[in-house]
Amino acid sequence: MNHTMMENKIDEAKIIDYLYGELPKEEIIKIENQLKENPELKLEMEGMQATRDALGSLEDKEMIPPTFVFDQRDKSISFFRSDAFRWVGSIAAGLTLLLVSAALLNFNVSNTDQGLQIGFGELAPLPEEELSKENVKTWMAEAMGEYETATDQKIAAVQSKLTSEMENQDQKNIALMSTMMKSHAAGTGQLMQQYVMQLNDDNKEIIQNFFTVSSEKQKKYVKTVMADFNEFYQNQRNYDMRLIETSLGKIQNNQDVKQLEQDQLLASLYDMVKTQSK
Amino acid sequence: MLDIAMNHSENIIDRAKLGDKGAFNKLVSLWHKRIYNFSLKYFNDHDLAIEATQKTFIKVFDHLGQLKEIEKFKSWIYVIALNQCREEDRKFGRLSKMFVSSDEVSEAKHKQEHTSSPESDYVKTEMSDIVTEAINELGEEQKTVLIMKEYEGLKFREIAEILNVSENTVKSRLYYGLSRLKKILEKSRAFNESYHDGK
Repeated sequence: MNHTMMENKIDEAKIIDYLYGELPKEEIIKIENQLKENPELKLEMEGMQATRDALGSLEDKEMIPPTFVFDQRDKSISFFRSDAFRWVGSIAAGLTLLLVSAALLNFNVSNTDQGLQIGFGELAPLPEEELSKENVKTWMAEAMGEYETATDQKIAAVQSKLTSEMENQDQKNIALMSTMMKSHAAGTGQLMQQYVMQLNDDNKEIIQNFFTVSSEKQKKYVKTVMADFNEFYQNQRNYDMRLIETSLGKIQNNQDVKQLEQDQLLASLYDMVKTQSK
Repeated sequence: MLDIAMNHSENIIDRAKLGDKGAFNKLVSLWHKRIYNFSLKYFNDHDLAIEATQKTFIKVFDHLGQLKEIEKFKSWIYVIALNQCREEDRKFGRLSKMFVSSDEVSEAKHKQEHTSSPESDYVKTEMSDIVTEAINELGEEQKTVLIMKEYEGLKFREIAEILNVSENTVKSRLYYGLSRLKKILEKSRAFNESYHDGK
C-alpha cells in the first residue's frame, strides 16, 4: 500500500518536474517515450499544460509602492504620562472618592473608654453598667431564680389538679364496673337455662333425624340386597337348568351311541350266525 | 530589471537592518508589487490585499533585525506575507460570519452563478477573471503553492522552506491543484475554446 502510494507520489512529482522543465535530459526522453506509448498520460499532460497556459493570462497588477514615514519624535515619556504616575493617581483618586462618600454618609469613628465605635450618623452612647463576667452571672442567676419559682408554682398547681381528677375518675370507674357486674351475673343464669334447653331440643331433633334417616337407609339397603339376591338366584337357577339340560343331552347322546353299537353288534352277530349256518 | 534588483538586494537589506529608513523604503519599493500581487491572488480582493501587504511590511520593519541569513530574505518575506494573508482571511471570515448568515452567502453565490446579464457574460468571458475565480475555488494549500510557483516564480525548494514541508509534498499539492484547476476551467466555455484552438 505504502509502496504504491510512494510510486504515485514519484509519478506526480515527475509530471510536475516535466511540466516545469526541471528534469534532466535522460528523464525528459523517458517521459516523452512514455507519452508516445500512453495516450491517456499524453492527454493529461496536455491538459495540465493548457491549464498552465491559461494561468499565464492572469497578469500582475501595477501598484505604486507607499513610502513609510517613520515617527521621529522623541520617545521619552513625561512624568505625567508615566505608568508610575498613573498608578499613584488612580489610588489617590480612589481614596478621595471613598473619603467624599464617607463624609456624605456621615461616617463616624469614635474612640471611647468602653471601646472603638464605628457607624453612620450619630453614635448612640453605650450603657453605663459594665458588661463584666460577674455582672452577667448575677443577671443570669436572678433571671433563672425567677423562672424556677414560677415554674415550680405552675407544676404544683397542675399536680393537684391532676390528682383530684384521677380520684374522681377512679370512683366513676368502680361504680360503673359494679353495675356492669351485677347485670351480667343476673343475665348469665337465664342465659344458661335457655342454652341447655335449646341444646336438649337440638339433640332430640338430631337423634330423631338420625333414626329416621337410618331406618329409611336400612330399608333401602335391604331392598337393594333382596333385589340383588333375587337377581343372583334367578341367574344361578338359569345356569343350573342349562347345566342339567346339557348333562341330560349328553346322557341321551351316550345312550344313542350305545344303542347304535348294540345294533351294530347284533347285526354282526346275525351276519356271523348266518354265515356259519350256511 | 526589478527582478535583478530584488535578487541582489543584500546591501539594501543590510542597511535596512541597521535602521536606515531610506534603505527600508527602497526595500518596500522593490518588494511591494510582488507581495501585493501575491496577496491579491490569495484573496481576489484589492482591499484585503492592500491590508495584508501593509501589515507584511510593518512586520518586516519590526522584525528585520531578527533575520540572521540575508540570503533567506525572499523565503522570510513570503512566510510573513502568507501568515498575514491567513490572519486577514480568518478575520474576514469571522466578520462575514458575524454580518452575513450562511444562507445569505449561499443565496448570493447562487445568484452570482445564475445571473446572466450581458455585462457579466462579457466579464466572465475574460480569461483572467475565469482564472482568478478558478484559483479561488482551490483549497488553501493548493492555492498557495500554485500562486508561489506560477506567479511568484519561487523554486520548489523555496516553497518547501516557506511552507515547512518536503519538496515532494509541494509537487504533489501543485499536481492536484493543477488537476483540480483543469477540471474547474473545463467547465468554462472560453477555456475550452482556447484549449481546442491551441490543439
